[in-house]
Amino acid sequence: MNLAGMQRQLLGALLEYAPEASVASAGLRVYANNVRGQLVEALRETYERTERWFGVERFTAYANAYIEEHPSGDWSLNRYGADFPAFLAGELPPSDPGDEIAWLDGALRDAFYGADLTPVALHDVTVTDWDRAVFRFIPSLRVRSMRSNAPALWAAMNAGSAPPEAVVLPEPVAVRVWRADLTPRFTSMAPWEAACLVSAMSGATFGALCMQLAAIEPEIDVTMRAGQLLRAWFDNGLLSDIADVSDGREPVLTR
Amino acid sequence: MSTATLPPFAGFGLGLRVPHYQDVLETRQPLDFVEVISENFMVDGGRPLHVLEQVRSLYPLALHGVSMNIGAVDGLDMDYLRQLRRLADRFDPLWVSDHVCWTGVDGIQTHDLLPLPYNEEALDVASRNVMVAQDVLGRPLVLENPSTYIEFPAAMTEAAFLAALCERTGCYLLLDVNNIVVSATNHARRLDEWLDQIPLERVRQIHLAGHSQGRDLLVDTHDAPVPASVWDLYARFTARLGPVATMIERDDHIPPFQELLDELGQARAIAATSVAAAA
Repeated sequence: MNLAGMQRQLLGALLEYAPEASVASAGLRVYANNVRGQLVEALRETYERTERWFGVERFTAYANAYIEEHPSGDWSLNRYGADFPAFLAGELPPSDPGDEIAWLDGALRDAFYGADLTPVALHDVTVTDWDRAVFRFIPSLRVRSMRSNAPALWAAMNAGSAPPEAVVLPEPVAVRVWRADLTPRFTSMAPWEAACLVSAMSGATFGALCMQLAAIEPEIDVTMRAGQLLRAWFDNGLLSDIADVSDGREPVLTR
Repeated sequence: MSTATLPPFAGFGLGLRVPHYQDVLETRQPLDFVEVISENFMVDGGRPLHVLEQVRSLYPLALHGVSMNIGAVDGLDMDYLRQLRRLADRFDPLWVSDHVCWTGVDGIQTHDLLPLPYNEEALDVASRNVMVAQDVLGRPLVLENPSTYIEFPAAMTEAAFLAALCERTGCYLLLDVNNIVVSATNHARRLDEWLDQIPLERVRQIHLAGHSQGRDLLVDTHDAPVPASVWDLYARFTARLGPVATMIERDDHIPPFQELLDELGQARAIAATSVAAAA
């Protein structure tokens, strides 16, 4: 047998290895346990609070089921399990927030390793035409709508305290994840901020965001709300640049 | 064969793991170098690279990889190599190392160091890949012997395979003395094969670690202090090699930092004694 055949045969034996029914050689058992163990450990490291939520036994069962369906195709173990939250969503009833806790774990992990980029500061910019201004966000920024109180559960488990009771919220709440300097963070957002952030990330101008604010909350002063919106984005370091809608390369600010 | 040379560097270091970042950054420790796992820093940005900048400002650095897949029949991952090159260019390491093994085929990664058959075909594949890697990285590779638990019918010993790989490609060697003990025990090989067949002039680094006794085999767990069998072989190698970069590598059950420094002190003493006795 040539080298390629030998490698394919051994890989097949490793992927099909079942400890409870195996008559494999001692050597194959060591390799099979290593291969499975590496992937379980990678999931455990990324989804640390998810494991606390499920407990070791249940988490390991989900991890093994995921690994059965998802062999690693990437040299980086850091990136293994990116769709574990989606896998969990398919396994869990809507009343179990495990998939949303996992999404937070994964997004925070991505932010931890995200590209370095110095956010633009409010005092450094002079925008000449706010109506036409569009926003560029830092690469670590992620937004997701949550049906549960997963953020509170995650925070409690991260602090080592007893998590509150899991509840399905009357209305979904949006969460954003980003990295401030070197530290990943997340926060829940008011509906008006969430709606505007999603629009802005899709390329809406500031003028369009103001119209959206007026439509969401007709009774609230748009100028005040728009100011709150910008202050939150600048203060949290979410913005990497502001550009003109007509040409992304043409700045409407000076630094 | 590559003509690039790697100057010898002798000293005593540690494999740096997260629990010891603070120890090496807050105090200048008696370490001649530290080694980190390359893949842990082949990321877009964030704290790991920030920490490595600080470490590098204090200590010479070796980059040690686990994912190059030097025995890949379908060739090396060029994206991986380019990312490793960027890391190496940024941190100016003493050397870049990986393992003589294969880690995956047909796009599936095992993230384990799987054994090669020590025959001409595997030598051809590994040599071709080493040459590609050295070309992309712009520096010679240093390659480590893995622990093995399966042995294929072979035309040569592992040590002879490594010697031929060095001869064909100009690469250098990282001898993991623990892995030699584990593999030799598991396959009932003589340690003298290694001492006699390794091209000593190509050895640039030594790893020292511990292992565990499994049900049927020794298992390279790298989670225990260096045992007597590994110290004994280390003394025999250093008597022949002379001063050589030596490192304690602990991957699991990471002890307090001082315990590793004490173990490294033992390595210094053994090397000093064996080198002096051989002089």
